[in-house]
Amino acid sequence: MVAEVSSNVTVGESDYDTPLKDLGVDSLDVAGIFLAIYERLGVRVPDNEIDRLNTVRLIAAYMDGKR
Amino acid sequence: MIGIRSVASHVPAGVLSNYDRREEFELTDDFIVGKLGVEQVSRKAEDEETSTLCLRAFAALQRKVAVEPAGIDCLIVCTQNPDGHGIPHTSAVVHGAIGASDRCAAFDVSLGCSGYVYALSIVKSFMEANGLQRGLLFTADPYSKILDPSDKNTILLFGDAATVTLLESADRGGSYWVPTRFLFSTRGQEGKALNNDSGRLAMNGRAVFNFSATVVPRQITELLAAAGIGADAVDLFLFHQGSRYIVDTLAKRLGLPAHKVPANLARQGNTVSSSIPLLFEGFLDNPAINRVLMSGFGVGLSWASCLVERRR
Repeated sequence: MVAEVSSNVTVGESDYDTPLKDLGVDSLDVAGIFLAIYERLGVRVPDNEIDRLNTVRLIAAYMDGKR
Repeated sequence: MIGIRSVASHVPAGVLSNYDRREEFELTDDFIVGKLGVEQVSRKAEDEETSTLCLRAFAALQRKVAVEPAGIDCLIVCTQNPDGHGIPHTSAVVHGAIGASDRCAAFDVSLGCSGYVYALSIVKSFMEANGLQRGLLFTADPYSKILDPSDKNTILLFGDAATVTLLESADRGGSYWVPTRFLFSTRGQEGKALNNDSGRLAMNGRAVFNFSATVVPRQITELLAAAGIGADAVDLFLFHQGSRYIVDTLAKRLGLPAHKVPANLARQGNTVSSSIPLLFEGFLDNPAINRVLMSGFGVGLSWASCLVERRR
């Protein structure tokens, strides 16, 4: 989903712990990612959590915790 | 029937380059061009008022069309940053400055980025209901008055500008554009996402993006369905130029080809209610363009869309 929403970003398994910023994901992409998460998975992430969830693994762990 | 005869604009010559702020705000060129879509923001001079920008737009209109101030029946200014503290209303100031007649109605409309679409309906309806022949709709909302220079969310985005739209009775003949179908919406409970409670503009960028990306495509889909047409029957989609990112997101969500979704915010930024007419001005006289859809969204939270069609 990260790669789909962010232009010019590819994400492989080895990138799951890389900060999103270092993958080329900017602040506007982050907004797009969390909107996509809400629309597809029904999970609304509060603003104060979004800044903390700055890797793919952290985002996935947060989603797992919401199931 | 009342239609749009002409649109003119004034973008101040003063600019602040976003490239000069790369270090301060940790920006990349890709972000400036590809995401913000704003290379520089326009700025009025310190001593210029909102009405000053309106007058400059009016002067530009007079260079295009013969408009005698004495013959204007109504004069509306769409702004949320009026002259001084708001009294007298900015439209009255403009009225006095251009020498319009005592019989001319003048009032302000307090709306932001949805303002042009709302105001088109207001002015058209007001003129038709009262048998008025010629009206001026100004948009002028210089956010430079309220921006926080240290706020990355806003200082790189918003620019100053003014536009004026000449609306006339179709009885005058010639070519004109008729706004046909409108849809209006408000979500006041989320209004704090864009406010100036502290005297400075504060914007929750994420909330505004989420709102725009979800409600605008829905409204446009509903408008097209109500009009009984598909997106292919619309020549251009003129979205409020909030940022390149939101314009691209809307185009993607609606499945619109890039050539139907123009963007022009690179050289002045997001000019609030002026953004749609600034875009429209560039296509008014293009004979290949006959039907456009306008959609404004933002402050309020408020959003509105309409279809505008050329008649000859």
